[in-house]
Amino acid sequence: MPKRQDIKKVLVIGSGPIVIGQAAEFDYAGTQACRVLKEEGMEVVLVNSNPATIMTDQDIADKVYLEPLTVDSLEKIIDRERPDSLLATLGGQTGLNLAVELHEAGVLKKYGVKLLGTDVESIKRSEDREEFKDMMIAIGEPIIESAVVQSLPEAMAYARKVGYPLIIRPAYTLGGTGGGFAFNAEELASIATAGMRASRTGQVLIEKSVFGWKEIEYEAMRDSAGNCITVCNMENFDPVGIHTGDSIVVAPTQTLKDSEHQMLRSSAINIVNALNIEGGCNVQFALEPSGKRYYVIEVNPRLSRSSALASKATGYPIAKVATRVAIGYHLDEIVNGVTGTTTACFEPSLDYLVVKYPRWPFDKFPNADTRIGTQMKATGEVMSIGSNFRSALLKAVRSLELKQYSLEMPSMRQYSEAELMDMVRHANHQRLFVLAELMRRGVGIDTLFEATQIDPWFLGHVAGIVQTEEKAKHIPLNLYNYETLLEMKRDGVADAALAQWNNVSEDEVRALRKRLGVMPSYRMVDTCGAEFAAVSPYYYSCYGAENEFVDNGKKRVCVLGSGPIRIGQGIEFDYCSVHCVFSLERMGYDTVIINNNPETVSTDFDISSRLYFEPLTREDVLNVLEMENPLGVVTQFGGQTAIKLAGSVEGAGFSILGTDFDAIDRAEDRERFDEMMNKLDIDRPRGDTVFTSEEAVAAANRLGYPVLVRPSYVLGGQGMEIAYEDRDVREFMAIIGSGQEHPILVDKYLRGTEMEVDAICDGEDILIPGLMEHIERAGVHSGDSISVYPANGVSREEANQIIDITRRIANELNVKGLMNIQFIRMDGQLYVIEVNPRSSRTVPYISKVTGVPMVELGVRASFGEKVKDMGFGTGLRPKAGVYAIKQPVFSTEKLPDVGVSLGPEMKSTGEVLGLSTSYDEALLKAMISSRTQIPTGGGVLITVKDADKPEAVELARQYAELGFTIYSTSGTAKLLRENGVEVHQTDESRGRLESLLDEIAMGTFGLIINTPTNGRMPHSDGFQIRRRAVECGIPCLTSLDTAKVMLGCVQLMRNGMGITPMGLHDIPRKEK
Amino acid sequence: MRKKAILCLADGSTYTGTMFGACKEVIGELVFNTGMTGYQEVLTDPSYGGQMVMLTYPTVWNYSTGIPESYSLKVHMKAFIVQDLCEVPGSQIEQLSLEGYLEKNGVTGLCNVDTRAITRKIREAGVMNAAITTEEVTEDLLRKIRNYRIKNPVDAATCEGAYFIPGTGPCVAVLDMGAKNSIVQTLLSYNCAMKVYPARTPAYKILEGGCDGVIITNGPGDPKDNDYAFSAIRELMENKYTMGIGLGHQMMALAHGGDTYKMPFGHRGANHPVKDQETGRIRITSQNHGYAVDGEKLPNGGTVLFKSVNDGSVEGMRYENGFSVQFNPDASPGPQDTRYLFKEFLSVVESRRK
Repeated sequence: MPKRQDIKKVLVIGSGPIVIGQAAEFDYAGTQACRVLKEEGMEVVLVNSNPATIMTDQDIADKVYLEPLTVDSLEKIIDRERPDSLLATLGGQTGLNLAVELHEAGVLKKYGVKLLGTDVESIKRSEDREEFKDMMIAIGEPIIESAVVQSLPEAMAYARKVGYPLIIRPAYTLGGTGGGFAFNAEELASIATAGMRASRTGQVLIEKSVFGWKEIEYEAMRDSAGNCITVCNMENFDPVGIHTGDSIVVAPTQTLKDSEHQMLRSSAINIVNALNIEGGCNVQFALEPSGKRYYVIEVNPRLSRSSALASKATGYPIAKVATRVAIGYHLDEIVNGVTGTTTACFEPSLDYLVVKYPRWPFDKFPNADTRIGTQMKATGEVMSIGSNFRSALLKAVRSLELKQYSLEMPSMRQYSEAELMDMVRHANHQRLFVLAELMRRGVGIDTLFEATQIDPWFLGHVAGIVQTEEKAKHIPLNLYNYETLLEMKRDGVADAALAQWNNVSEDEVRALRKRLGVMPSYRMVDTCGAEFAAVSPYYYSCYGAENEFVDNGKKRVCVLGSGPIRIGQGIEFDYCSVHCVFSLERMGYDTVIINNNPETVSTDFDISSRLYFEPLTREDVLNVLEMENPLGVVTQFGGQTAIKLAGSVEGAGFSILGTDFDAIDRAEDRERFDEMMNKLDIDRPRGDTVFTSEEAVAAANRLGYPVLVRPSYVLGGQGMEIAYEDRDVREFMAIIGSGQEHPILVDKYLRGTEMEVDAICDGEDILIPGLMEHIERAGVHSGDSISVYPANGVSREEANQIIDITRRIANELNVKGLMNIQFIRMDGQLYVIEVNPRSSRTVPYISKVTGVPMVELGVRASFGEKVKDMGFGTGLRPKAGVYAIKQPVFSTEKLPDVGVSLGPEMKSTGEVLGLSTSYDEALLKAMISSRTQIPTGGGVLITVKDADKPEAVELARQYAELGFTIYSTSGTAKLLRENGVEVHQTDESRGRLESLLDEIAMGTFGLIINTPTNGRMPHSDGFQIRRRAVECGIPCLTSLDTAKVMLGCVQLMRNGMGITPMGLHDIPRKEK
Repeated sequence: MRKKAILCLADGSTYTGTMFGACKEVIGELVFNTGMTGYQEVLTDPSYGGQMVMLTYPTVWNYSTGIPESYSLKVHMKAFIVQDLCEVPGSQIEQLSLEGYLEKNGVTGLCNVDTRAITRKIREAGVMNAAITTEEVTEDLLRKIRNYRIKNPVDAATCEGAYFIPGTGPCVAVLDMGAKNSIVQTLLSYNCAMKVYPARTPAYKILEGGCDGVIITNGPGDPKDNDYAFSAIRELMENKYTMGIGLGHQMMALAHGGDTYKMPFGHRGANHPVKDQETGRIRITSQNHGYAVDGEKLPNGGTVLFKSVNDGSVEGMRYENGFSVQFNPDASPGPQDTRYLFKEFLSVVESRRK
């Protein structure tokens, strides 16, 4: 059947902010969907609260709404736009849930909106536990036995029935606290008891555990005619027990026989047929290691993280095909874009291996529980492609940007064998390196299999890598010949690793490789194992093979991507990279992207002229550059990842487009930065450089408390703390570690208002599209504060000052392209705290709100175009007639032992935008979109640190006036009472903390305001109060500034203020 | 003993690699297979008689060969070519190494070659003869390569004598043109009784032996080499409901005045979509064929049942008293999506029983 004629206008729902478990993959899927719909001549209305996404660009959809993803908000948009259809299966679980809710609320029926793709009944059948169970039984597919119990005897009885091991999960609790594995009755008793306490309903889910079985996934695609194929299968390196999002994953499966693969493939198709799926579907299995029995673990009737991975792993564009299927096409009517001659109705055949490796945020959270299990903790992932498993695994490892170029992790040497064995048994994020260390010490594969249940095939390959590495350590560089070096490279050994083992520079290894002629070749990813000629410009490197790169002679520019999504470097840089590519193509250049993140739009092979799916390391990037020989390399849009490579790129003789490396260095290097600020006579907070704890204390006293203490070699606020007294300084210095070779920075902490600008610079003029002001005072990382555009608190005079400072810095650094500067206003005085001569987190949202295509202008500036000729003026743009409020979104509920409080170190994973002509409404929208529950009554628990107490009194009074019951612990309570605020002192009968934690779990408080004295200590009372709040889904505000804003929102809700949708196209724009 | 060797193609291009297994110099027709699993089933597929089989998937022998009975099945191919020979212990089960397996079966292996480059070559130039040699390539060798032709491969692949497998279900006569073991296995799973006959068995013998239906199996080589069987096939089809698979499908067409042709590089893999011309449904199939039934010159009384979605070639025929498919509904290796065809065949056979 060809395209349905009854579809003219489609509403597409995005997945909202990036959180752990729902990341950039849905921007990729949604962007593909929108592009397909537009190609098919349909009008696209897009709703997504996430302003950093590419899909929310006005080029991608016809109407873009950066609005809350709630039924209420969507109904208003439907009412206004009157789409005839809804596409929801590309917006993750968020989109799927909303589709069901809209259906159940009768909205779809009321407005005559058709749900495209898989229908509601099928979605419910796969989502509802009981319905799913019944259907699986009906079609003869085995599922794992489970039961919900609410008492220990019930749990015990169930255990007797199904046997151990069992998985226990508390019902209706985020973050998996109180869950775990029980291998016997004793463990069951303790875990189930804790779980029932942690659960709001007192229930736990008990499931028979298939711990240690192989975890296998299939990505299926089915059309309305019933044609069904599987795009790809994937095997988890880590067996069942570790979330697939936290597992190393390999595609295709490696240890399955054809008969096992076909058994599971047939089962997947059976399920997809029974569910009547129209579009993509993911099916996860647990397969007994002997290959005889299997269970269906999970079915996702939508696009998923795995489908993004499968698309990139195979070249089969699942989201595009799913969209075409949703609008009526049959699979054989859809052209396979990779070959251009065959159709989407086939199954890709790979002639390479793909490895996915999770990127965890533990480098940001030194105190976090780094063990991995059933709760996903990774914020992002990298993918690598190799012609064998070893090289693919090593490529993945170096793509993580953890300065790890081999499987040898020096920190592992400190542990005893027994400790290491314990570490592999209780998997943490470093398990691969622990395994490698154990193998290095001679521990056999059998023992490690016993301990981990990781298939011996995988273990054997890890052992193989370790063997190669040990061999490499003993071969002096000068003894290599073509054959021996080629073998090393085929096995994936990095130049950096060889350099390290030989104690030479990486350049020397590179020179040797060139001398011997050991250079990589680039093979195409073509979906078909070379059976058909491919037109897809999608490459990976390998050694000892024919090079398929064909030089078309066109002028080209290479854009370095931003790698895996991590805290502090998210999807916004993919937005910038992709827009950079679009701009370059408009300027007539061929574009080359190097990136390794499978979730993103930039790694979609039809975005750039050529895509290299490679690690973003010096070696891999230079290899591509030397072959492509671009006229320039763009590093300013790929976040810190690309910036870090600028020196290497320039050093190898390639020109950096725009701002040169020296300027970057002057902004990043502390001493050179200070020098520049002095030269320009621009104020910055006073500071000192110290090495020892005593020096730090002395410096702090000289500067006056509070001070900011941080190691100098890290960026993005990592390891940064605010100290209020000598004790704090000593403690932080101890955490940072003595014997630091890098100096420690002690700066005066100015608790002022923070402001931020992004500017387009050409070396002479600048253009600032807009000023932003932060709600939270300085001390909270800019990525974690609520940011308001336009900055209304900024006077004309101050604005002029900001423009002047920005221009002077830009001209001094000769910035050609984008630059971001952060300011603090303290006692009427402006200070510069940070300069980034590159694109920043706020570029996507400011571009969208102000209508200034910042990335494009930045690209044009880096090619020498003058800002004044760009048509947007110079200096500060007039304010758009709209408020745009960016609010951070956190995933802390998924990271046990991670502090919840705001501080100088960034913790948020994503962001949302609230857009309105009214400040209040914009704020309310941002709050709703961030999924912060706005309390309308009940209790507010207020416990604050001494420094905040005076301000807290007024705040408490206002909450009380709104009818909230104020609760406090003794200290704060006393103060409030003294100031005439009615307050309930919390029950302290069961021990102060225990009682309080129980009350939080019971839901006594609708809001918790708790400002931390010291956010890091995992066992402090405040820490535990905040954790419990987050795990129970109760809003917990750790800055009084946020608490004040929340008060405003409560008032608005009280006044019955609703929200009215506003699209980007509704923003009143001044003439250019 | 492993040694350096050269794969020399008929057009004179050479690729270096490492010889393993039986380590004999061989000449054969070089074909590629794009399946990602099932190398063991590929190795024992008699349809590869006379050919050198190269896998496009780069790593081979990851998992254990597992099924012990396959050890007793003969390897018919001339050589097995892979990029990387995986030498890591597989999943728990004691396994035979590929090296030992090929050696035992007298088959030459070649690894450490750029299989993708060779596949691209064949894709462009078409299937070519080739040799694996440890010597220098001479004009003489090239001549031998070019003159190589697969001779009567069916005779080498068919069973030596007729045999009977008892069963409680309908009795199927299997005309063995070089049958994959999986055809017999599939029929066994339906409890069929089977009478398996060598390729050159006359029809009257099969009919005298009694059966409820006939299967003409897959096998190696050019279907036109087996003209001796055409009249038998016609006679069988007049009397019994008949299902043809692979070579059997091609021979049924030839027997009824249709034509076949050699394809540029054939279909070999587990991902081939075919469209049912009667229902419009598409299914993914396992395929291994270098010849195809000519859509321009169809057999008398036959209509096209399946077509390849990729290139439109004929993948199945419907006859008055039977049907035939070019692909392998018995899978092994490959998808089981068309296994239902056996069921359909057997339900007709069953209905005509007695």
